[in-house]
Amino acid sequence: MNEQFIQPSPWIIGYTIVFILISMGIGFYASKYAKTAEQFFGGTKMFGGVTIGLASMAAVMSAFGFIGGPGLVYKFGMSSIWMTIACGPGMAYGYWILAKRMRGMADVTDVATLPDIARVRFNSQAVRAVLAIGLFLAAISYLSSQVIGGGILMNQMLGVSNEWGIVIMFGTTVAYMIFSGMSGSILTDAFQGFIMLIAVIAVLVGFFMMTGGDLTPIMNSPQFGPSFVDGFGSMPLQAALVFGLIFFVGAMGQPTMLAKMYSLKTPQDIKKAGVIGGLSYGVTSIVWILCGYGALYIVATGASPALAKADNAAFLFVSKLGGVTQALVMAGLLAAIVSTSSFFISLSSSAITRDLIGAFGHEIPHDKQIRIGQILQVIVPLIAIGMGLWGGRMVAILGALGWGFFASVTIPTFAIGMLWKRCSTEGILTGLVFAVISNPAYLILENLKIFRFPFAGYLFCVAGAVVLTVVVSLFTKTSAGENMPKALKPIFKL
Amino acid sequence: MITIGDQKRDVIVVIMALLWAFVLYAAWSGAVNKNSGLILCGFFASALIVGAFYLLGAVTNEKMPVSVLVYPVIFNVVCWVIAFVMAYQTRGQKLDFILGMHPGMFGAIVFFWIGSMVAAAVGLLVWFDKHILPPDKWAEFENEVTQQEKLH
Repeated sequence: MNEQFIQPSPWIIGYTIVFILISMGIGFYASKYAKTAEQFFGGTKMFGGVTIGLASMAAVMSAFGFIGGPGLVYKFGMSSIWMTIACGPGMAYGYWILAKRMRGMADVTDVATLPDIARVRFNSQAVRAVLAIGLFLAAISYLSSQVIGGGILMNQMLGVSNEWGIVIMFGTTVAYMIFSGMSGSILTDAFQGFIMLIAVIAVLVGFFMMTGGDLTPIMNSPQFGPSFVDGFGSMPLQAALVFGLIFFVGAMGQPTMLAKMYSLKTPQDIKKAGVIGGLSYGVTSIVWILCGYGALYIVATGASPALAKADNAAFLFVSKLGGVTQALVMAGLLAAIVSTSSFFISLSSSAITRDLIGAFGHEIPHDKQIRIGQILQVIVPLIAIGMGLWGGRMVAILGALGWGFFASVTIPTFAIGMLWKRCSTEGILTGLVFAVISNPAYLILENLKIFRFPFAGYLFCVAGAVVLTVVVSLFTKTSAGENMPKALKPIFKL
Repeated sequence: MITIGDQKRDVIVVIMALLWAFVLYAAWSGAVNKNSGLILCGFFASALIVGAFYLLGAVTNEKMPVSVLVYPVIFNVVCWVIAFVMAYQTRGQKLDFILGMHPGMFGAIVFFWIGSMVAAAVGLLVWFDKHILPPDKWAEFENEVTQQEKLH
C-alpha cells in the first residue's frame, strides 16, 4: 500500500464514478462508428479537428506527465520541464510538417494502422512487420507503466488496493473498447481531454492561492537552491538538450498523434487539430510544472517534510487543496491515464491482428479482423497488468521504452519517409532494425549496470536510426525516387 | 517564393543527418569532457534540426513563400537560440526574478515554450489556408488520386 496523501471524499468518489460512467457511455455510443476494420482499428477519416486535437492531447499526456512529471520537477527542478514544454508546440509542429501527407495517404490506400502506410510507402511487408513489432513492444511497455500509475492513483482516489484500482480502471476501459475500438478511444479521449483541461484550471487556482506565484523560497532553501528554479535544473546540462529535441521533434513520431492524422474527416481539419492539440497540450503542461513546483514550495517552506518518494509530489500538492479542487485534479489525473491506455490497447491489438499476421502472408479477412481484435483487446491489457504487477526488472527495463522508442521507430519511417522521396526500403529497414534492437539493448545494459550513456540513451537510438536511414538510402533505390509506386506521387506534391 | 526541389531536399536531409550526429557527439563528448560550450553548440544544432524539418514539411509542391521562411522557420530557430543562451548564461545563479521566474526559466518558458507555440500553432492559423494546404491544391490532389487505382 502507498503512503496515503489524499483522503477519499464524497466529492472525489462521486466525480470519479460520474467520469467513468460518462466515458463508458461515450465508448458504447462510439460502437456505431466501428463497423469496418478501418473504422475499428483506425477511426479513419471520421472525426473533426476539435475532437482529434483534444484526443491527441489526451492520449499523449499520460500518467508520466501528470504523476511522474511533477515527481521529476520535485527531484531536479526545471530539467524535466523541457520535455513537456517541447511536446505541446511539437504537436502543432507535427501537424505542420506531416499531417497533410498522412491524411493524403488515407485517400491513396486503405489505412487503418501506421504499418499500413509504411507497407504502401515502401512496398515492403518486412517494413510493415518490423514496425508492427516495434509498435507492439513499445505499446505494451507503455501500458504496463499506465498500470502502475493507475493503481497508485485509484488507491489515492478511492482508498482501494492498487490491484483493485487496476481492475476498476482497466475493466471499465476494456468494456467499451471491445465494442468501439479506436473510434471509441478517440471519442472518449476527447471527453477525457476536456476533463484534463478542467483539472488545469483547478491546479492554476490552487497553485497561486498557495504560493502567490513566488518561487523564491525554493531558491533560498538550503535543501534545494538556485538550480531548482533556473533554466536547466539540477540534471546535467545535456539532459535538457536531449529532452528539448527529442520531445519536440519526437512529438510528431508518437503514434498517439500520427495515427490521428488519418482519422481527420477533411484536410481542413488539420488546422484545427494542430492548433487545439498543441495549445491544449501546452495548457496541460501546467499540471506537470505547477504540481511539481507546488510540492517543492510546500517542502521548502516547511509545510511538509521532504518526500520519501518523488513520485508522490503531485499527491502532496493536491492534498493541500480544497475538497472540490482535489476532485477536479484527481479526475484529470485519471483521465490522463485512461485516455493513454485506451489508445495503446487499440494500437497493440491492431499491430498483431492486422499488421504482424498480414506481414507474414496471412491477411485476415476484414470481417474477422474486428472479432480477433476484440479478443486481443482483452488479452493485451491482461498481459500489461501481469507485467505491471509482477514483471519486476523486466518492467523496469520495458517501462522505459516509451517516447524515445516510438520516436526512433517512427521518425525515420514517417517524418523522413513521407518527406523525402529518396528514402528507400533498405534505408528504412536498416533504421528500423537498429531502433528495435538498440532501444531494449541500451536499457538492458543500463539496468545490469554494464554500460550507461551520459545522457538519455534514446538520443543514441533516434540519431542512429536517422543517420543510418539517410546514409543507406543514399546508396539504394528500392521504392525511392522514380521507383516509388506511381500512385504515391501526388502525395509528394502536397 | 523559394523552390525546394528534390536535389535541395537531398541536401537538407543529409545536413539534418549530420546535425543529428553532431547533437549526439556534443551530448556525449561534452558530458564526458565536461565541456559545456560543446553541449551549448549541441543545443544550437537541435534548433537547426527543427528548422530543417520545417523546410521539408512546410513546402507545397516544392514551393515555400519567403514569409513562411521568416515566420515560423527562422522565428522558431531564433526563439530557441535566445532561450538556450538565457538559460545557459544564468544557470545555477541566484538572480532577481522576471515575472516571478528565474531569468533562465523565463528564457525557457517565454522563448522556447511560448515562442515555439507561437511559431507552430499560431503559424498554422495564419498560413494554413494560404500556404500550407490551399483548397485548390487539395482539389488537384484529389483529382489526381481519383484518376488512378487505389493502392492495396
